[in-house]
Amino acid sequence: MNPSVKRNDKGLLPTLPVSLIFHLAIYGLFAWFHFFPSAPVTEAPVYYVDVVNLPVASPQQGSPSAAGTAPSPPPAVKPPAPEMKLPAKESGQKPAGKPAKAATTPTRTAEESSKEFEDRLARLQQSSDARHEAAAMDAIRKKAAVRGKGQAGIPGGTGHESGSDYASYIRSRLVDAFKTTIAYQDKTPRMTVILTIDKNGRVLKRRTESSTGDRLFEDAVNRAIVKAEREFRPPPNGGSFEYGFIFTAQGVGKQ
Amino acid sequence: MAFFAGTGLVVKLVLFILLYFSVVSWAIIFYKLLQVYKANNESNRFMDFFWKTKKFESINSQLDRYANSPLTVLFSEGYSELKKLMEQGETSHAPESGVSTDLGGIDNIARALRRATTSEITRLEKYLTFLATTGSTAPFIGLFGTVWGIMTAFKGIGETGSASLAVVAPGIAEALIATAIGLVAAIPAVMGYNHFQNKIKVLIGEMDNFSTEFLNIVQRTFAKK
Repeated sequence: MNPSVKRNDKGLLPTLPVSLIFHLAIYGLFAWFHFFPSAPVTEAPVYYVDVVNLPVASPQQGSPSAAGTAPSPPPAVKPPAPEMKLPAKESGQKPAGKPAKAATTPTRTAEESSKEFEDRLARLQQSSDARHEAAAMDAIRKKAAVRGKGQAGIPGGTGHESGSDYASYIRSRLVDAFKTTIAYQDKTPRMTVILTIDKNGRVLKRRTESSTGDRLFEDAVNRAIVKAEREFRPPPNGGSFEYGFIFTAQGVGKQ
Repeated sequence: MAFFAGTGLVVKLVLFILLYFSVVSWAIIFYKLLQVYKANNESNRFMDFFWKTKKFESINSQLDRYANSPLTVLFSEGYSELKKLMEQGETSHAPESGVSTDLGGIDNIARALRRATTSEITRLEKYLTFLATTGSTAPFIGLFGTVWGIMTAFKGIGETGSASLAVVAPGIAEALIATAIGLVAAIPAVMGYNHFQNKIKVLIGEMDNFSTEFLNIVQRTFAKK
């Protein structure tokens, strides 16, 4: 239409890269100042009671109590001595010269034998009860003696092994700490961490065995471990302890 | 980036569309800022030059210096139409050379100026419809992403069986980001659209005034009775 006026109009070509750079700069600013929501709101801490008793391990894996410090078994209760009272010989006690009463002797003899029988029966029953009681006490003594030697539970267990209960204890500490640090973006985040705890209760090594790749969640898990580590007690066996823990959005589980 | 990576497919698509709208809108805004600035600046300079210079021919030879002004196109169109009429008058061996008002010579120039004005308005308003579309649809697209995200979040909550804030909050936050970005794309687009409409209205007024002035000069100088 107008050949005399020549314009150098390239349309949006020069401004599109400018706009892209502008958007990247805005995004960079937002990311730099953490304007994007990254962590969910922290929940109020939930307090609960641990059902784990330390340093007692599970009965199946032995008791940490040493043989020398084992509580002494209760003293054997001696069965009460059976009272071997013989029935009183009434005939000997009675005065000899009383013929009037001698006539009634057959009936009295029958009554006496009946009473004697009942007494004997009672004695036998008492004796049987005492034997049962003695046998039961003997069994308790034997059991206590065996436990004191550390031979109950796993074969060869000395009672000092750190068993599942120490793992439960560590897990409970991790659960507490994880409640305050939990944050994630995936729908179902999951991370398995192998913790190695030294004899002082410090985390010697932590190894991520598997993870769904949610970096926010991984960060929350690491912070939970650091936080929980302050409350770890030394393992009961006096050595190091290694165990795997599974962290999910729902909480912490043992591997 | 991790925050956006955690969103669902539909929400990601919505965010991508909104990002496209935003990038193009800002590109248009930058383009229009330059275009309107140059048009205003060069129009003012051209008008100074126009009133200072007496000869149309010398003005016509300097038009490229004010190429971004819409008035130069009007002048060029009007002048070429005037030249055609003048040449037509010379070839028809009329006793007096000049533009006849009786045969519609002035009307021809007026029509040429109107046509040039229309084409310049079209040029100036180019891409503005995209800003209007962004301003009106981006919030709704964002809202769609939010609704979808909340639906997905509630579905996830139903599956996990946990309704704690730690489970609910990330899904809701992900969903709301779509509405936020929709508004971020729409607000500058609407503001830019209104701003450029006003500026173009001023330029249209200047073009109308220039057309009238041009016709007056032609009628005063070249028209024959």
